[in-house]
Amino acid sequence: MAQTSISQPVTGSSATYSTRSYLRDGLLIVSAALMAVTLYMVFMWVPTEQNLGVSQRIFYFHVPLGWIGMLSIVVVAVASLMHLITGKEKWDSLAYATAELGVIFATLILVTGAIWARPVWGVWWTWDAKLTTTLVLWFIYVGYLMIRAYGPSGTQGKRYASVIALIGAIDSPIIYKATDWWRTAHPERNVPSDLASEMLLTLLVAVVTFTVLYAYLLVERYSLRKSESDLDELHQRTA
Amino acid sequence: MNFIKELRRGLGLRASTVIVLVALVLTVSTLLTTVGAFDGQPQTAPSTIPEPSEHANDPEANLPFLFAVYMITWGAFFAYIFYLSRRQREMQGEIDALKRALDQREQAEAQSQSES
Repeated sequence: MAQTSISQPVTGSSATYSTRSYLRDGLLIVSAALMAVTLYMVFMWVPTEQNLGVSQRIFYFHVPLGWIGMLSIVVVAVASLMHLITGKEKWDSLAYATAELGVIFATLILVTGAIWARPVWGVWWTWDAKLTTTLVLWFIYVGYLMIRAYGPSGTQGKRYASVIALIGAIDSPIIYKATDWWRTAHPERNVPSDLASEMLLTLLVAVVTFTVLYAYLLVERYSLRKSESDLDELHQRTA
Repeated sequence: MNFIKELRRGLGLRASTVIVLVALVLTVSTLLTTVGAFDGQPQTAPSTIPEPSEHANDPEANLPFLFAVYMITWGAFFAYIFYLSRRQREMQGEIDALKRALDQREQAEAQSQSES
C-alpha cells in the first residue's frame, strides 16, 4: 500500500482543524463570560434561603453537575451505539472523550453532594437511593475507562466498552426517578416547585453555563483524542 | 438481526460474561431497591439521618462548606484544563518531530533513487 505524503495532515484537513479551533475558542470565551454572570448571580444577586442559609448556594453548582453527569452517560451510550453500528473511529473517540469527562463530573457530584450533606443532614454520606445510584454511575464510568485501558486492544476492546456504556445508560433514568420511586433524603422533585423566581433563574443560568463549559471540555478532549490517533498512525508509519 | 449476530461473534465468551455480570448486578440492585432495600424500614423507625447541627439556623455558619465546594470544583476544572493543554502541547511536539523524521527519510529515499 502506498504511503501518503507527510506533507498532508495525518487525518482530516487543515480547514477542519481551524474550524475546531474556532469552535473551541468560542466556547471558552462564552463559558468564561457565562461563568462570571453565574458567580455574580450566585453570590451577589440571589437571596439566601431561609432554612439552609448560605450552604443552599451549593445547589447552583451541585444540580448542574448532576445534569451534566447524567447527560454524559447518554452521550457515551449514543456514541457507543453509533460506533457499534457504523464502526467509525470518530464515534469511539467521542464516547471515550465523554466518558473521561463523565468521571470528572460524577466525582464532583459525589464530592459536592457530600459537602452539602454534612451541614444539612449531619452526615457526609448515607445509603440513600439517589446517592447510591449516582455512585453506581461513577463505577460505570470508571469501569468503561478501565476496560479501555486494560481490556483487549483494537476493535474488540472498543466493542466491549461500547456495550458497557449501553448497559450503563440504564442508570441515568433510575437516578432521575429515584426520588419518585423510593423514599430518599433528597427532595421529591429534583427542582422544587416552590423555588423563588430568582433562585430558578440563577439555576437555569448555571445549568446553561455548565453545559457550555462541558461542550468546551468535550471539544478539547476530542481534539486530544484525535492527536493521539494521529500520533499512533505516525508511529506505525515510522516503525 | 445481522447486527446482533455480528455483535455476538465479535464479543466472544469473555466479554459476554462481563456484560452478563454487569447486567445481573444492575438488575439485582434495581430489584432490591424495588422491594424496599432502601425504604424497607417502617415509617415509625428512627431516621438514619441525624438532625441538622445546632448552627443550621445561622445563615453564615456553613460558609466553609460553600467555600470548599467552589474551591474543589474550580480546582478540578483548572487542573483538568491544565492537563489537557499540557498533553496537547506534548503530543503536538512529538507529532512534529515524527513528521520531520519521516520527511528526512522520504528525502533520503528519493535521493538514493535518483542516484541509482
